[in-house]
Amino acid sequence: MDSLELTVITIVAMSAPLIFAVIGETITERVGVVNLSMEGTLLITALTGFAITIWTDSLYLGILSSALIGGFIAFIIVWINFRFYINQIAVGFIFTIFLWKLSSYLGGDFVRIPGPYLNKITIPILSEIPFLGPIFFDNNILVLSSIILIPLSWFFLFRTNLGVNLRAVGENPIAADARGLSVMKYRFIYSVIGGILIGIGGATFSLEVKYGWSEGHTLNYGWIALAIVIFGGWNPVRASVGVYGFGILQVLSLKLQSVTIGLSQILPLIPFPLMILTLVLIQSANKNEGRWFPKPIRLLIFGNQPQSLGITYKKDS
Amino acid sequence: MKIEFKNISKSFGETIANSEISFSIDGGSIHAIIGENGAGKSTLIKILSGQILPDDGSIKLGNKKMLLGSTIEATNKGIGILGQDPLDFSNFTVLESFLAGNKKSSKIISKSKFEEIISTFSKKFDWEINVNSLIKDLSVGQRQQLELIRLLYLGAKIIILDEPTSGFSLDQKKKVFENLRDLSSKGYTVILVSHKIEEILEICNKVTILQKGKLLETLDLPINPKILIDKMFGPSSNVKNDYKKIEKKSKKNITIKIDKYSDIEKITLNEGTIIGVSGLQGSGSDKFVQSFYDDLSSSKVYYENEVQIPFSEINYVASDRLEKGLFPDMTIMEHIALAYNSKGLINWSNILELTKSLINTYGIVGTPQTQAKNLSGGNQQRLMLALIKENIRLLLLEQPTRGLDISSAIFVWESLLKTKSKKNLVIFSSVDLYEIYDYSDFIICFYDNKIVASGHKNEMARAKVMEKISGK
Amino acid sequence: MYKIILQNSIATFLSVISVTIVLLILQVMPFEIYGNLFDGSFGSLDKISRTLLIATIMALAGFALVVTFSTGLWNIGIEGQMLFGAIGATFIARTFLAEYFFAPIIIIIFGTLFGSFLGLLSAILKTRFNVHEIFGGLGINFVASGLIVYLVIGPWKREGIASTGGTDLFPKSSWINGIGDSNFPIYPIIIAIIVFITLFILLSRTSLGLKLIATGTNKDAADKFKIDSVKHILYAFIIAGAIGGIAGAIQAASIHHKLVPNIAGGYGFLGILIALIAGRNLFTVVVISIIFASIMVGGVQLQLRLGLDSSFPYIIESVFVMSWLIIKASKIDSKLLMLLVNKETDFG
Repeated sequence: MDSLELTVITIVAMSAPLIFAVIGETITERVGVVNLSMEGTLLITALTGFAITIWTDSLYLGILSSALIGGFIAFIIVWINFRFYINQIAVGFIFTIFLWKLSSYLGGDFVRIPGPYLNKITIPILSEIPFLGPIFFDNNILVLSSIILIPLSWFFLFRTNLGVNLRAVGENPIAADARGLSVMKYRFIYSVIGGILIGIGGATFSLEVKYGWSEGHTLNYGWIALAIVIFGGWNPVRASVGVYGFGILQVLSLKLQSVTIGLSQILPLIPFPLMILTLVLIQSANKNEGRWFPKPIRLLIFGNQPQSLGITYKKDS
Repeated sequence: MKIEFKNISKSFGETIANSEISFSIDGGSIHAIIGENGAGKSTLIKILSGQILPDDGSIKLGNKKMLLGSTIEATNKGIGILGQDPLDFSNFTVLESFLAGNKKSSKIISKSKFEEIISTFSKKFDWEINVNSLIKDLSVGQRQQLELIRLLYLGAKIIILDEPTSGFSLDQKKKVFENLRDLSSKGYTVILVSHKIEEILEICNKVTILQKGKLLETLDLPINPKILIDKMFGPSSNVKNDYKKIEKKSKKNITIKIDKYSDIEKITLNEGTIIGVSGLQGSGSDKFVQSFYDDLSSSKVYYENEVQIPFSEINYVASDRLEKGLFPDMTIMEHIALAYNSKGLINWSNILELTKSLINTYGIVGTPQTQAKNLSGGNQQRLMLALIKENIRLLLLEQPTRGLDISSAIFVWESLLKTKSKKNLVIFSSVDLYEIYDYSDFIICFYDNKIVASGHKNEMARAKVMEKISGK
Repeated sequence: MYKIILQNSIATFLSVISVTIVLLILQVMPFEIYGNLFDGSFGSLDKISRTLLIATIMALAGFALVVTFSTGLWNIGIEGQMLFGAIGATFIARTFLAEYFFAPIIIIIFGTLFGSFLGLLSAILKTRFNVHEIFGGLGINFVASGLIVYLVIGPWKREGIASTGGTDLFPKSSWINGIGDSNFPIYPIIIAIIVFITLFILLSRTSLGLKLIATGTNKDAADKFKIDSVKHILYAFIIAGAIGGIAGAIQAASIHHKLVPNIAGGYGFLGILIALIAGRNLFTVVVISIIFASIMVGGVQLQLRLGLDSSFPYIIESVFVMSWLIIKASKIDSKLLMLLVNKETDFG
């Protein structure tokens, strides 16, 4: 394997957790819910995945329990929003701090234990194909599913009736309700599914990318994921491009670490100014000033924020 | 299928929207519901379509009682609603908006199939809808057309049209009506909520008139339009604008530019004139009044010598008092401070004194510490009046007595007439013809976002105004 | 007033109960923890001094949130504003001005200016480009932290060493010290009191403050009152940024005496939690800040004596805030109060 091929494989593998998290959050936000707790959820599920795997000696049970925890957290956030009408952002923020610190308390016993990790599933012959072979036919199940998830989630959101319905709830809950879609049901179901994906992302991190557990294990990944969701214009494919772009930045910063420490710390922060820029562009596109962009470029860089994103829904009675 | 409303009641806080409404709509008929603004029409149809749960009462479809407050039940029973502002999804494509909540769609979207369905329906009505364009790029009319196609495709058996035809051209309207008649002959039930008498007379079999949340009566059509118009506009209030007649000399001129709404460029009047803008809900009369506050570049009021009245001397009183006029969580005192102490430090003891005296003058039931949201509608309006400063030259009032009981309404006008300086100009909009006739000196009639007639009160016969604002 | 205090006491009590339950679930002894927290934060003058210094910084962060909450907006960018305040302080500490006795004053002034610049940036993103203040604020926080890392290992690095450990120490003349030989944070407290009084007057005694609140409650109505809401949002964020900047400058000049990458220490985020409880009430900000600061400072003792993880203060605080919000939203506190009051009258 030459070094370019190796680099590509590395990027694809290390991006897997973010792919899960970003797509999970994209689905959540598409139905109108902000799960701001991502940073905390990723940490606690990374720990869960690792700890359960050690206890039960089963990687699959580890992943499963991370998924359940991720889904449960999302459920609680939506429940508090529907039951008490407390702002999703406030709840998400509190959960971020709570789960983050909870993970460092509970994780105390697991720090630097050599951890289990997923084996690769190698398919003979096919795995010999340059580039595609090692990615698709000589990889572990999590990386593989992260790649499959990209077109799958896109297809679900934009090409199935359920996808249209769930986006309708996020766009205009009142209109969706008038058409007989239960806003509460949709928000619960798809936020939980999104939370499950974020949970799997957490497990992927500790079982596949950075084996094991340390305090603040997934440092800043939750915030980065939030930024990439926006950069991706709430579209799984574009968001994944953002994730892989971020992967390239990370590899670069690893390589540059020997040259200068500084750059390696600053490069991972690039998604944030890009997020702000994207938001600015999206907003100007809706006004007249964005019209000077040629149409294909506009379609490429602009996206539409779900109109009811983060807004508490109260059926008027 | 016959629809039977029984004792439907619904109130929002203090406002009674529907009070014990009982009547029935025959299956396979076209049934109109009319009434002026605030009569309770939209609440009633929202109850039928499951968007609102009534406080009391029941609805029977055929022989079966309907589960109320559930849009899922309503859509399952084949009830479809087409609103004035269609409930759709502005960032979606036409196809996506068509498919959202569409039970007839297969799990995986078949684009070609639905493109064909939409274009077949469009052709039938002579409409042009591009399936790939975004909803936000369509006109309101096109959005309504799409919505109607969706309802018909879904097989809605009961179709509610809430002020639907404003977006249709005359030819398009004819086609729609043709189809509605055709549908009703096939057993579909059509409910038309409208202000447009001519439309109702043209296609409806029966009409139910609502007034102030109560059922007035249900009439068989056709009927003499005059009777219908008379019934639609409610009882009158008592105070008359005789204040004007006392002063008549040495008035300066004021000129209002209206070219955006009319072929006439401007109207010149005496200062101190009260202009009543008459028009039904959605006719554009409210927007016209508002434009003198929001759009100073096109709606202008001049004094003699072409001096425009400055923004600081214009006051606008919105009709959505809690939504647009007041700060719900702030106290009366804080409102007074905002209006009368707009710079620097606030001297709260002075403000308290001022507040007390204004509460007295305007008879507001509340203390200086009462929050605006805890005031009744009438008291909110009194507070709004108390906030008008003396130096105001142009006073704009949007539906000044909407939702008020008669005594509050009379009070509002008494104090307006009393406290208003002789130098200023008042422009108010109202759906209540009696209010227009009782208080204005000059009448402007609105229909379909245009001025259709204007003149001094003595030149404008009531019958003519009624016809004009009804689009006859 | 009396009723509100009673109601808040009930809410506090109930929140403490739910914290206790969480601590029991985590298999630690709640009362041992509470005792140690109290002892660790108020047990000696030295500990009290430290608690008050941290409380000052948290209260400033809380104040900065209250100002934008008045206009109905979140100031998530508070961490970034604190970082910028620290950058402003360091900028001065690296010039000849740092040698003079009045250096601390200039340091605070520059911290204020730098912080308000960042506040303005959030506000412009919000008003001009309609970027949601949560995402704008988060983004700005990370950009600010990137800038600090760059400064610490780049232009402002220590002689010969490029590490993230921080810049050179500030000259002693520019430190903000305690009173006499103790480290009692008299100057930060004075600054916080000045900010408190200014804000109190601003929000309750001036027309500008009333307009800020008016903008926050109803933009449409503000328009009818001829209040320019865009302008007032800018004002609010500039003021908030300035206060955040002061907090950052104090962190730099009073605690670290140099610029380090994580100089905000997460106190900005805790300020957000504090403001979630306090709403628009400045006095509550002060009370909660002192409580939270004592939990943070006392938390050190938890590590030393009980061997507990440093994360406990945060766990206690976040559970407290979440319970508080739910109690307030479900009105359990006022219902309980009614119940208690009614019982009393029954017996009477």
